[in-house]
Amino acid sequence: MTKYTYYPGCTLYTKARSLDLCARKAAEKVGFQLVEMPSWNCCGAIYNATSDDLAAQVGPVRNLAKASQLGSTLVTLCAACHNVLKRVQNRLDQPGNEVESERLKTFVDEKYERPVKVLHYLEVLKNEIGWDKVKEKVTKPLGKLKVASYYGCLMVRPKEVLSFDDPENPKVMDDLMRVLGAEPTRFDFKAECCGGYLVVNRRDVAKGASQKILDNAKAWGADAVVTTCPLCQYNLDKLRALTDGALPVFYFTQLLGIAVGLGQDELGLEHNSGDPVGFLKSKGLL
Amino acid sequence: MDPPPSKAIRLLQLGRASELLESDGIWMCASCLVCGTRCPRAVDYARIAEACRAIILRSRQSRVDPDTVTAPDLEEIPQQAFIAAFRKSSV
Repeated sequence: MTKYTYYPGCTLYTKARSLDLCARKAAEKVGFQLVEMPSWNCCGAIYNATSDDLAAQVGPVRNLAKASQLGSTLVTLCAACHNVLKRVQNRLDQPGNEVESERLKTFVDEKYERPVKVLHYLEVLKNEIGWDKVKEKVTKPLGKLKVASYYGCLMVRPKEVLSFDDPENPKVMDDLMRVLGAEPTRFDFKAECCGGYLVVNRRDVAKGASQKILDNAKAWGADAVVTTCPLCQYNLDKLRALTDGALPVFYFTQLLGIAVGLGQDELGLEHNSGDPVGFLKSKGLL
Repeated sequence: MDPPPSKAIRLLQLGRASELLESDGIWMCASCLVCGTRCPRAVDYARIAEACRAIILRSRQSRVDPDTVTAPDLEEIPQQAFIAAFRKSSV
């Protein structure tokens, strides 16, 4: 079984435990293992775009240096960690940026041994394992569940650095949902901003942005929405009023977990709002 | 978002940067990068908003005060949001 160095980040250890647990267990069902990087530290949570504030990059640089001592890849799951680590890795390894890169490396004790490829879990599934292999491991197809895949901003932009997918119409998660037996829906707001961290001091802004996203998913006939970021998940799932017909919001790893045969107690559904268990039972998935 | 990115750029072109610096809009930009991705002239407004915020933060003025966070919010909201909000909006 191929092993990958894995960076969970702070939120996956606490408020987004279900994203992390399902991912680890589903990986082993699919045929790879996430090995948590020892003594990781905060990724910084958001990329600092001011070019002179090098101190803001020290946290991610240390994580990348530690990862480089263990191998040449680092797997992430939280969209925010992925965005920060990938963009800082780009600053370290980009040709022409050697002076700044050397300066950044002097801030940490750990030696940056080699360029580290920062891979999102979805990229591992698609490019390292392959959709055909993932499909072979599906024991419980998702029964044509209509799923709107929500990517948000951090997975896809800036496109030149993230080089993940189309920055406005990404497809990776839709492809995964199809492989798992679900039916991806059209979704115009799949890469719009949910308001992100503005929830801290401008809850109204995050709530309004998130509601538009959910309304669009519903308008295209989705049964459920999937996310890959703890903050998107929070803004979409927890800020709204839970009225009749409110769409359930899951982490993509929860649906992956169901499809590859994880048990109900391994899905962390107690963290989703509404009645996710009732919903999944009504669709014959539990 | 007031001003929206297009109006913000116009203010800068007209030499009215102080209006942008005093606006709410620069704090409403969460760096989602949609505008820069769509801009046919490759204007990176998210970076300009970041620069405006940096000018204000470096004069030791915070926009978000950690002491105003309520206990229920602290309990519920993912911690990545707090780190991000404080990094973007406080000194």
